[in-house]
Formats: sequence, structure tokens, C-alpha cells
Amino acid sequence: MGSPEVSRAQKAVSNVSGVRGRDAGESRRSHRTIEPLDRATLERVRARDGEALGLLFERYFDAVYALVHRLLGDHAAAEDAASEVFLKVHRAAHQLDPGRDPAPWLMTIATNVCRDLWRSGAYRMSRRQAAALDDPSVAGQLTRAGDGPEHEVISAERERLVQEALMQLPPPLRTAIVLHDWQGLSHQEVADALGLEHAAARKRYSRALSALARRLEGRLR
Amino acid sequence: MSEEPDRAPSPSQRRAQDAVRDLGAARPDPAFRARLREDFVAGRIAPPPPRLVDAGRTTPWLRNGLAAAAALAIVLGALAANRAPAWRLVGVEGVGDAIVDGRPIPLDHAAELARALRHAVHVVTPDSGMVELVKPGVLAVSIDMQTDVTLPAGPGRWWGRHDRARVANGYAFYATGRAFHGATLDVETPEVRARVTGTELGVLRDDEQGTCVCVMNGRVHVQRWRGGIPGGVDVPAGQRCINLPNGAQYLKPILEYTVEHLHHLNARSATLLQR
Repeated sequence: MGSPEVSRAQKAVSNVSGVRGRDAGESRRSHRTIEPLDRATLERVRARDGEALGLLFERYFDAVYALVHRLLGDHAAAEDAASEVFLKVHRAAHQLDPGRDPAPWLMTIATNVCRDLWRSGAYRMSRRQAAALDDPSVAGQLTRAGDGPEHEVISAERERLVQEALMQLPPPLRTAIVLHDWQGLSHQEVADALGLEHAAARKRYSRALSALARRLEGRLR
Repeated sequence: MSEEPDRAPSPSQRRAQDAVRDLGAARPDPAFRARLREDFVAGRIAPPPPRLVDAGRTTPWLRNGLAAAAALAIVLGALAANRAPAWRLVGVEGVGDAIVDGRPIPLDHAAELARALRHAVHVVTPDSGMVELVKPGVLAVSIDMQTDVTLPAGPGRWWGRHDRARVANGYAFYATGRAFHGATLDVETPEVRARVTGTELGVLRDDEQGTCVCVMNGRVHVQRWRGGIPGGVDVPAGQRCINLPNGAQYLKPILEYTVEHLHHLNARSATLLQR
């Protein structure tokens, strides 16, 4: 069995595996539903067996990358963070609990790596240079993408606008909303992943949603 | 859960929720993915090199400025690291003023003299005084009385391994150390250029006798500026190459005066030269 901390983390996040309870009304997207590896394979991951590590990587890498990219906002940073995540996974493989889905553990590591990055001086310096949200007159009002010839253009621009608004949120708020609304975790799962009380996680999410809605006010319909 | 159920989101909050939920999942670069997978499976995965996150958002002038500053720091650091060690004053005898780059400094002001004797300064010793210097590990120089020399800067550690010195008049003696290996030093006089590749030698020069290059150890190639043996002369250990002002050039056994002087210099500097 793994350490209590790892077990807690492994219990925490579940939408990537799509097998646990969730808050009512939350949407679920199939691309983040991952079938967990079997126990025997996870036992071999614990022993750092090359083939099992390869299976773990294939199963979870894309989800980890997508999460860190959503939290950090660009590919260069996401590549660094993903490398760091899998370095930590390799070092801590022996702590993995083979009786549980490793997805929550991986996502907690990914979130922690991003948090460490946000705390670094280099990240803060780079963010000071970040451009403010584009002029609303330029961005205009973007509707949700539907069918039609302008679908792809509108969809890409809408995504850019939302991502920029996310990147303007303080990292703790951004993490809360990405984990809850994009990753699809319940408030309890967010709380476990971030090491918060359930009520604190809800409050943080509520603040994040209000802040994001203000930033997108008048730009989305 | 025991807490109150969430308040229903406002329309704008609902739109924000929907917008976040509609965001796609970024795809990694396939080459990066494959490389990381290979390293992860093989246990070779290493921490990513530090870099400025989101450097693409920095303004061009800041990015270029940082890059230029970093490059300049690297160049200056490399130049400083490549430089031979500073001269160290190991012996002063006699009285009078040494003239260092035109500035008279009494020989008994050792600290001031040591500070003034920088990499490639011009030194003139007084009528009855001499100076001995060492670049630790690289080179020792003894400057006899009434001598006018330009000191070598010392060969670079990794590049710029060729060095030059000059004896305009008087007697100067040179001994190379372990770190000199692979470097060359040209000692120039009005008559010749003596190319040193690791040896102990004396260069004795005056207007009437011309230049005498005395080699105690190793081999020195002596090339006259004008006249002399075509292609120059290789002077072996224990010999001296006489280069008269009239153009004559020939070999004779080394002068005893040079041998004694070089033994003296060796005794003073052998430890610092790490030979």
C-alpha cells in the first residue's frame, strides 16, 4: 500500500477516471474519462518496470499535459511542467497505491507542480509582462460556436478569450475553476487535491467563478 | 455534505461556467511526448532546464535586453576565467625606482610595486635593483638590473594560448610552469624573436652585443628579424644563440651567469610554478 498522503491524493480527484461521485449537474466529457490501469500493472509501476511505466505514461500523459497547459496557458511552460510531473512520478513510483486509480495522484502532482511554478520568481516576472485582456472592442461579443462556416474561427477566438480571462485570475482561483469546471472534479475532490477543507474549496470556487464572470461580462453570449 | 447548497449561478456566471467547460484539451507536441516517454520508461528523466516561463509574452526589448545582458555576462565571465593568473611579486633586490608603465615606484614599496605589475606592463629596473615575478603555475620572470622589458600577459587557459614579451635592453630570464604546457611565448628583441614552448632561458640584450638567447632546458627557436640563418635556429639545452647587430648568428655553450640566474629563479619560484 502507498503512504496515507498518496492514498488521500489518489482518492481525491476522479473525473479523469470518471468513476466516482460528483456534484449534481456537473458535466462530464468523454475525453477526460480514462480507464484505470489494473492492479498488477500498478504493482509493476511501483517496481519501476519499464513496460508498466510505458503503459502508465500512455494512459495518463495526455490528461496531465492538458491540465498543466490549461493552468499555465502556454506550451513551453506546459512541457516543463509535464516533465517535472513525470520526474516526480518516477521518483515516487514506489509510493503508488496499486489498489487505487493513480489518476488523482497524478493530477495532484500536476497541480502542485504548477503551484510551485507560480511561486517562482521567474514565473512572476513573466506574468508581469503579460498583456492585459484585449480591448473589448476588438474581442467583440463571441457567441458559443455552432455549426456554420465561421464555426472554427469563432470557436478558436472564444477559447482564446476564455483562456486569457482564466490567466488573469490569481493562480489559486484559476486552479479551483479549472479543476471544477474544466476537469470536472467535485468540490470535495478539489478540496482533497488542493489540501483544503470542503467549505474552503467551495468558497474559493465561488470567488473564482464571480471573478471570471466579471472578466467575461459582455463578451460572451 | 453538511453545508448549504450552492446559490444558483447568475446568467453571467452560468455563461462563464459553460465557456470553461467548452474549452478543449491541448495536444502535446508529438516529438516532445515521444522523447519524454522514452526517458520516463528508461529512468533517464531529468528536471527541465530553468527558463523564463511564458517568455513569449515578454516585450521584445526586455527579452532582447535580457538575452544581451546574459550573453555579455557569459562573455565577460569566460574572458575573466580564461585569463592567466595575475603576476605575483616574489623577489626584490637592490635599491632605486622601478619604472612601471612610466610611473616610478621605489623597490622598497613592495605592495605598491606588486599592485602596479599588471598583466603586460612595461618595466624598467634601476641601475642596482632587480625584480622577480611569478604567474602561479604558468611563468616566472626575473628582470635583472638596468633592464627594459614588457611583461607577457600570460597565455589564456583555454584559448589565446600565444603570448608575447619584449626585451628592449638588459637581461631577463624566463621559466615556464606546468600550466604553460601547450602554449607559446615569443620574446622579442630588436634583433630576434625567440619562440618558447616550455623551457628555461635567458635573453640578454644590449646595443653593442645584440641579443644572446641562452637555453638551460628545453628548446627555443630563434629567428632574426633581418639576416641570420634562413628559417631561424633551434637552440638546444646548454647552448646560447648569439645574434650580433651586424647580422651574424651562431651557437656557443650557455653562459654560466645565465645558469646561476636561472637556478636562483627556480629556487624562488618552483613551488608557485608547480613543476
